[in-house]
Amino acid sequence: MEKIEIKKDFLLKSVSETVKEKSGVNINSCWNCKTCTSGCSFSEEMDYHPHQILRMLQLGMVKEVLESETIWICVACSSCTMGCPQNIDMAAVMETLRLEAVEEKKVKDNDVHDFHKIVVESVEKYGKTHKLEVMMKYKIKKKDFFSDINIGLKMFQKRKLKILPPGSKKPGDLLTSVKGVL
Amino acid sequence: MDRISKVSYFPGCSLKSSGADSNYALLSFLEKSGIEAKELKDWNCCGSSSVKGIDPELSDKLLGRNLSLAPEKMPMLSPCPGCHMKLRCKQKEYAQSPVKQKKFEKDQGKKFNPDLDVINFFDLVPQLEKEGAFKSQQKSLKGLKVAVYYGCMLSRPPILKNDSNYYGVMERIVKSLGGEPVPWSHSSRCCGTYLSAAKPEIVKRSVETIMSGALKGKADCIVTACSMCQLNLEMRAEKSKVPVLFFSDLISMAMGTSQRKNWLKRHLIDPSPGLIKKGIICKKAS
Repeated sequence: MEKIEIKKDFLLKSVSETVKEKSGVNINSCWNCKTCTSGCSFSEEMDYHPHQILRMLQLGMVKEVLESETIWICVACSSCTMGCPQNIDMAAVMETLRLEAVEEKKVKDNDVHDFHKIVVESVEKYGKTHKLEVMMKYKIKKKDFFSDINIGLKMFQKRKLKILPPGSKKPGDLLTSVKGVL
Repeated sequence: MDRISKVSYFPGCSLKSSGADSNYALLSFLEKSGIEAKELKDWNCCGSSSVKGIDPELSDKLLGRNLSLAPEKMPMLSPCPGCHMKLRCKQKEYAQSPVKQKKFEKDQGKKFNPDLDVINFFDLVPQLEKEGAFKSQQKSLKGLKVAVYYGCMLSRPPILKNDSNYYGVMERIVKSLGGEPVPWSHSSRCCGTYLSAAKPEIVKRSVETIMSGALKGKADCIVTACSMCQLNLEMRAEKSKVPVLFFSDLISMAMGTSQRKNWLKRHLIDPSPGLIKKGIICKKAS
């Protein structure tokens, strides 16, 4: 029989205990009624539906969950959370799973994670997000130079993208005092 | 409740870049309605959708810093639904936990203010309605069929479950301006936020569903509550295209023609032909 690899942390405690500790959610109260999945705007794009993710966690299928596309397609809009008759904060579970996946190094060449990292860089650099720079850095990282060039130019022309980061009037004026706190 | 006449103002990154016009429209509207809005000095990004998933500690500090900048004795207005949700949740989280308050005070070097109210523009709507702020002299949206789009704004994490919701607020504004909200099924479907950049194909398919839903509902336009939704719907629409207005566009309409010139030109899907056909604007104004 093939050996199933289970994360140490998840072995020491049960999966449900770990999830409870990190997200405050009791996954064992899920009935699998699929309300989360029916309310999800992107469930069709996922490899496992949200209710399946919860069931897999109940069954201890941590590896499959952490390697799934689903956790990266979820944008935490909280529709699932709002609909849940058992008061499960599914969006918080997904957030926890994304952090776990990164910690467990289950994330390689992931578009969403790469994008987030570039946004964080921007926030650390300017204290605010510089959308134009974020988009350009992301496109360069993905070596995708042409797919959105028309939209990008149109947005630029319509002044929806700005050369300077928000709040700064001149190029020297980039860093906010946010640095002191971070 | 007392009349809110003074607020501190957190615009957020979107309203300062892609939504600069909306920001302007909103601020002029507040001024006209007798609400003084003072921008927080040197505010920082709320962390957007990205920071929390990469560095939760940094996310706490970013949100905490903004909360610490808010002056006392007035609510803080954050018109962007994304920023608002994060700031409001964090404020509540701190207010409920003395342990977290201590952490806040250590991070920010300031005392936590448990009385700070973080509000959205929609929280001001009941007050504004009472004062007749949306009743322009003419019914400016007369005959316009509007698909009202809230996106994820109506969904909330458990910590906010007892707060009042915004169901029907935009419908009321549209109606009071003479427009007609149409029934349709996608008013609270998520716009995809950052997936629009990271996984555009997914968002294209989703936006097609939203757009064709609006067409099926015979809507002349979609009105969004968030500038991110507005941008995503416009930029990822391919086959079916319905003009997408941001709710501050409605506000501009409530304020009269002089405010319209700017925002009409900024749309990726030009709303003017539809608006001219319905007689909402005349050719000259476009």
